[in-house]
Amino acid sequence: MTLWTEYVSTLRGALALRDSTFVELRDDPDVFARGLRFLVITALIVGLVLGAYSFIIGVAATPAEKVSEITDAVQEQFDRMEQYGLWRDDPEGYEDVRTALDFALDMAADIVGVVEETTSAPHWVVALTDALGKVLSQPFSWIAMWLIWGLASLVIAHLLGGTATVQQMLGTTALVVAPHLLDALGFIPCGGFVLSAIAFFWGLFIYVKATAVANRFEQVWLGALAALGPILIALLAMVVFVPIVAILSAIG
Amino acid sequence: MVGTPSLFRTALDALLLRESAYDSMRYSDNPAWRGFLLVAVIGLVVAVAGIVGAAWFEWTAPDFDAIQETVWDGMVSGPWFDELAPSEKQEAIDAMEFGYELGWRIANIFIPSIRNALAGLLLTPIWMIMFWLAYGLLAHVTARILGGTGSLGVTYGATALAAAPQLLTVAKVVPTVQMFGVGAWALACAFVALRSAHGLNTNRTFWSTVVPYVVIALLIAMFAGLGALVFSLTAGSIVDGGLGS
Repeated sequence: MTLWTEYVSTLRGALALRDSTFVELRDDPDVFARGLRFLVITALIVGLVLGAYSFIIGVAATPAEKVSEITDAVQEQFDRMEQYGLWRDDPEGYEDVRTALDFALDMAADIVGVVEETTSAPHWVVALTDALGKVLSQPFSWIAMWLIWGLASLVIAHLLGGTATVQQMLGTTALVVAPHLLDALGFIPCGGFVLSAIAFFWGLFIYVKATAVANRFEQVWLGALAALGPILIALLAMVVFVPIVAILSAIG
Repeated sequence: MVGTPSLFRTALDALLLRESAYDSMRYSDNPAWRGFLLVAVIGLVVAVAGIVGAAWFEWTAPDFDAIQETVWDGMVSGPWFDELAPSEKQEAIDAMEFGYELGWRIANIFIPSIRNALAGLLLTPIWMIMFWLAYGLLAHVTARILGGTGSLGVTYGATALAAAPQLLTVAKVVPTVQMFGVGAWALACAFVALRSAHGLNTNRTFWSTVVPYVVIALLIAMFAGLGALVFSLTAGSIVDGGLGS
């Protein structure tokens, strides 16, 4: 099976919450490496789309042009507020805000001017570097979340009688990223947010299933408790500690 | 003598949490020495990647001294200065300048530069070895208290493999890459390493892995607090002296 065929097959199985996909992955002797590979490929696909979008936006306009656009938009909003009579009773206040705003915008333009003058690399190289950064950062941001959540869930799963090894827990729960392929469309205004929300909740179901399979829990609710345990503990800690800190600071 | 390719293979397998890497370390003739070599080599690789990343950063980043100057010029010509009496202006500028310069000095430590990266060629392996020595010792003591059976040498050999995730920081050759998760990955590697070295159950291995991190974090916080106290006292006396004169 080629890498791509294996990837597509795992992706389909994970999205459909197919038992065989989770069990086969858990029982693979190299489960962590396989899970990691799945996560990295998915993250790179998302990163490539977002990076390409960032590059196109970055190359399309120089920093000075972008600042100029922002300045025009801010000025327009300010003028509109004036037209609506926001400053009618306070002409001095209007003058103060106007002076501060003009000053801030001039300063931003000066800084951008210095950035353009003193950067050695051509503008497109800077945009490409930013885009490359986005592509390569994507796997790392997911890996961090996956590892921290996975290790915390593993501890709770073991307290509930789970039997997963670190490798099985992390390898199997890596499937959580499958629906997050939708994050690649995150640049779409409004729609991107909705798709990310769908991916999040879909991913949550996959995570619960993966935790249950990795730990050989027969009841799914045990998997749910272990998977969501870290979030519940964090919330509980906030509920308990925030009032305590508030009381202590009030007393102090 | 352990050859470098074999060390890299071991590091890669350790990174992928393959038990074979941890077992081979446990059964090697001199695990502590092998571990030392591994940490030192990884430290060097990370430092070299840092130099490449710093060079790329310097090429694609603006001149921060010029930005510092421009922002300062802007601040002292701001509309709020017109409201001050001429006699108060200089005093306000002096007070602002101290904080501004200090802020930039601190920021400059974190702005990548080839000069800092070259220093990292020496400092990164030393820092990593020091951390490994401290972590290994604390992990060994904790594991033994909890019933572990591994020797100190085996613990050092195994915990050296927790440095393997640092290899991922070679991605910093692209200076805009944001690195996350390396610490958590190192934690997972240390967990597998300590279980392999001491044969403890999951819960005891967990505490053997986490307790040394907590102790080291507390020690660092304590020293940072002391440093901040000394600094604030020193800075306070400089400001008082400066404004007084």
